[in-house]
Amino acid sequence: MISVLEFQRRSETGPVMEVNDFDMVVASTMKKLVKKYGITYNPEELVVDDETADKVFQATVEYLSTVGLYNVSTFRQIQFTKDEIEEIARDYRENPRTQVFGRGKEEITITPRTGKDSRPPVAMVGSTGPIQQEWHVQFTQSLADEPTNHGMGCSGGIKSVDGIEPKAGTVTELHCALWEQVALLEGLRRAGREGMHLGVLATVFTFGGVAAVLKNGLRDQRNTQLGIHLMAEQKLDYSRLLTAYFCEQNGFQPWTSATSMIGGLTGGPAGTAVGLLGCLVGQLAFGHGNLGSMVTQHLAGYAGTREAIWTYSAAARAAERNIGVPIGGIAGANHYLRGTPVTLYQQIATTIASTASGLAYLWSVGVTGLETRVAVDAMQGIAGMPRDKVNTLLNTIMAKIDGVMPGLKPTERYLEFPEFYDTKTVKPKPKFLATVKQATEDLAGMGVPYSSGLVID
Amino acid sequence: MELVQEIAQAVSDLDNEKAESLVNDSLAEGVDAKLVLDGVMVGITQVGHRYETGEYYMLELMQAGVLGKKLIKEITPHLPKVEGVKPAKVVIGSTKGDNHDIGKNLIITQLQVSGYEVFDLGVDVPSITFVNKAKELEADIIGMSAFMSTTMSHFSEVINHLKDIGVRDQYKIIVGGGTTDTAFAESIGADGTATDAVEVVKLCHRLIAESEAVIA
Repeated sequence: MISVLEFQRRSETGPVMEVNDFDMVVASTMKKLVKKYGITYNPEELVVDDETADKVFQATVEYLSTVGLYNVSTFRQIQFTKDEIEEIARDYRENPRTQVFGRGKEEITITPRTGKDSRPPVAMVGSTGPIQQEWHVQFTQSLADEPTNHGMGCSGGIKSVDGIEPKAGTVTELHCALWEQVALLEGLRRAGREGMHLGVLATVFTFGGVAAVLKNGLRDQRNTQLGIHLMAEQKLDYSRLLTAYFCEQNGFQPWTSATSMIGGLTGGPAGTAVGLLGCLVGQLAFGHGNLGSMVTQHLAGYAGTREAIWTYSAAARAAERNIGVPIGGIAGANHYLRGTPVTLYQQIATTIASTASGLAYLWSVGVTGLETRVAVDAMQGIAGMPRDKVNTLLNTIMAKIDGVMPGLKPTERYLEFPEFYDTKTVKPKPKFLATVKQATEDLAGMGVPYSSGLVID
Repeated sequence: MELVQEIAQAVSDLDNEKAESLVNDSLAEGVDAKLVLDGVMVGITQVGHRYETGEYYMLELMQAGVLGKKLIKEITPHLPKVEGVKPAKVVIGSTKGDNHDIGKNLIITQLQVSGYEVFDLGVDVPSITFVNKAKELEADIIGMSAFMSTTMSHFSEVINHLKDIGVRDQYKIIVGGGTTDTAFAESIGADGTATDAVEVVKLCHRLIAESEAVIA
């Protein structure tokens, strides 16, 4: 494995390049590689076959050995050889990683998983969007109240505390982040799940702020990951290397999270799958993490489409077959359709495809506790189902979505938690409950095999 | 008009060789440079449409930007000088603490080929730098990009600073990136936001139309 110090050396000695030129190299390389390896998006086969998965991996090795990474702190390219990339993958394959989070009855162990595994992924929950102070505790409690949720992938970020907004690199960043940690622990306490994993730190981003939160004792190695994620596409700065080094020296698990946007520099689903895997391997190279998550959506900010699901599957299956690091993903949907059955259809479709594509943990993000209950149950029911059956089921769900989408109008703003849950009782509001119940029944009618006596009430 | 369409088609198809040849030959033959420029601009607009409909991705948008800038550089010396007309100026950057730049860079290219004079402040830009550069360059528009909620809060820092020194009305302010939406932009007193580079150009055109500045 390449050391973090070596990454600094390469950051200081690699070819100097303007950032625009690097972006152009990324985009043009990807277009050529997608053609060279014949990677084709197939909307009818959302869980990809072995051959496609392996092509994505081969293209990734060439992609990473061509573009490498880019350090925005030094304006230099960080280069890899093909041998180094293959060695990283081999090391993960031959030495499977496991990761323990949580304490006491909330302890969870994440291990590598394949799409054929009858063991379902570990169920993570949370939010990527900002959370309001007024309902922060209740939101956390609502997710922890669901006994089948194992931990938080990300706790979201606090919008403001008593009117004070967190501003990066200032005292308010730390002020809000500290308030947030106390609120998170209170949400877990109310749900009786104090030892639960809380995922990546959200509100606090600067290294000084992270250190202060950790020193305070509110977060530690068992409930926290620290972000070392690349910026799209393939870019890092010294703060990422600094955090990776800190994690390595202090027993923290880095939050290795690959991002590539459909319609962005990597082009369509085929290129984005390669971009996701390239981003992941690039982070594993310097972060040496035990886990790696993947995030994709369309450039316009929505997910849950055939393109997004196929992209996830292609990247996840490529990782499953060729690297073996426990992979996580986001079961997301079009958040501007929240409150309609379509978000649950999309979330369940992504959940099903991810489960069958070998994800080791799955993060139901931007949805309520009630919706995660359905997703986890579907995950348990789908684990081990043959790929062809999964694809048939996915086509049925996606056809249903295609049928109802034209009649839906996205909301102009992101609908927040209190629109769906009563914040006093921390229970779903009747109208939302009825919508989820109906959508759950619709999905059962389409063939979603819930694992047990799923109760929506 | 046939020439305009021919140049536009070559630009829209990203056929660099043909586009450059058409432009250079036309200029050498003494064709009105304004017509040649029209062809390039129509082609760039068509690329934007093809991007919006999903036919083109970001790569093609970037390639069109590079081609457009090259062609405009060829054409500019042949255009008649118009005294007293200055192109609209945009000062743009990613806010303090934010190193995300893909969207910003794409916007810069699109604005440049659309006739704006753009000053890129880069990433991780202190709020005071936006203010000082806008004043120094007499900018028409200040553009700020931020991907994270903690770096988005620097938008209002810049806006409030401009208000407090009494010059807020001298600039149009656009913000974008991450979870920025129209409601948020309005809430902090920005003049607008847009979801992609093509939309940003339209937004700037609208804002400039409201002011006295001129797009080159």
